[in-house]
Amino acid sequence: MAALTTRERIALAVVVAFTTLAGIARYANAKPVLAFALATIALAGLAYVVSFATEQRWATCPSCSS
Amino acid sequence: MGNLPELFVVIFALHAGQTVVAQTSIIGSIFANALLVLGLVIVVGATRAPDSCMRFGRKLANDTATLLLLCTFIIVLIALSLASSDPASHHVKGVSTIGAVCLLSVYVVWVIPYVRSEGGAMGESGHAPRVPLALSSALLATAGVASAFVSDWFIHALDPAIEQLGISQAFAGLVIVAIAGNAVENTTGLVLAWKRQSDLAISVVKNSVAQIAAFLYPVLVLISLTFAHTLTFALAPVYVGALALTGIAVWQVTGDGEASAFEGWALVATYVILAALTLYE
Repeated sequence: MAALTTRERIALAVVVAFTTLAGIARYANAKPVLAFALATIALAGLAYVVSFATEQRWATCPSCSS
Repeated sequence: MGNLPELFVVIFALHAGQTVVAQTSIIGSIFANALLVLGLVIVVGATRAPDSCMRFGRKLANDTATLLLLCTFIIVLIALSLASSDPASHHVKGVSTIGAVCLLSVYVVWVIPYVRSEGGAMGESGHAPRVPLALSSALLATAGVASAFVSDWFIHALDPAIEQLGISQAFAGLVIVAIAGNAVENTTGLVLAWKRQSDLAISVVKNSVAQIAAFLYPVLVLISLTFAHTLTFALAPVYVGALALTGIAVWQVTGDGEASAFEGWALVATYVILAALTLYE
């Protein structure tokens, strides 16, 4: 994790937090609009993580990520 | 890979029998990227340019327009066949499967030389890898698995949330899922345009359009063959018309390699009109 910048670590923490909250909302039968909003934000965050990880993998090993 | 969460959303939507959400999510992503995000990127890029004109390479802009038009061709053809009830209209699944294979083949033929040339350009510009392969692989795997779970929760909450909010399924798919699923491209494109990296900004947005139209959509059509509810290229007539006009508008605005702010606003306005229509679908 030391290779990540402070901003990237904060972004990851926020994504983990929203993903966890979305899971709690799902299984604790929270209000549908709240569960939907949390899942939407978590999805956007996870799209960021997937893009970031793909970009870094590609920079390290172009043949690994296509 | 940025479209991975979207892929899961569509798969879970199809699995849950929510075909409208699945279809509108995909074409919504095309509309969101090709109209809203591209429009905003052009507005920001043109505003930041010294002569108020954003300039970028013509090749990628034209290549992605070609891929979008190819996808649109299949969709329009199937819509015409259905509207005229000709014999082929009874074989939409078969025609969609063949169309998906053709689209994927053309995309692969386009993307391989493109990735190779981009890889060379990146190497020359000296972008050294910062994150170790093990860490980036772990992040990718974790985020991929988490995306699958969150997509399932998202689809589970969708119907009751739509009911409470009083919005249509089409609006949820076309606007909410599309914008959330493409948040990365949206932000990255705008930041790059602000930094006056016009080529890169246009490349991020237009690559996303090409990837959804010529890769994600056909892949999902093929995957859905294993489900009870299949995804085809048959769309509601209003979206067929909107998609065809979007393809032409994108080609017209970006094909000459330059765009001014009003052209960006025109694309944004087109998206807002379309989104307003889906509210009443």
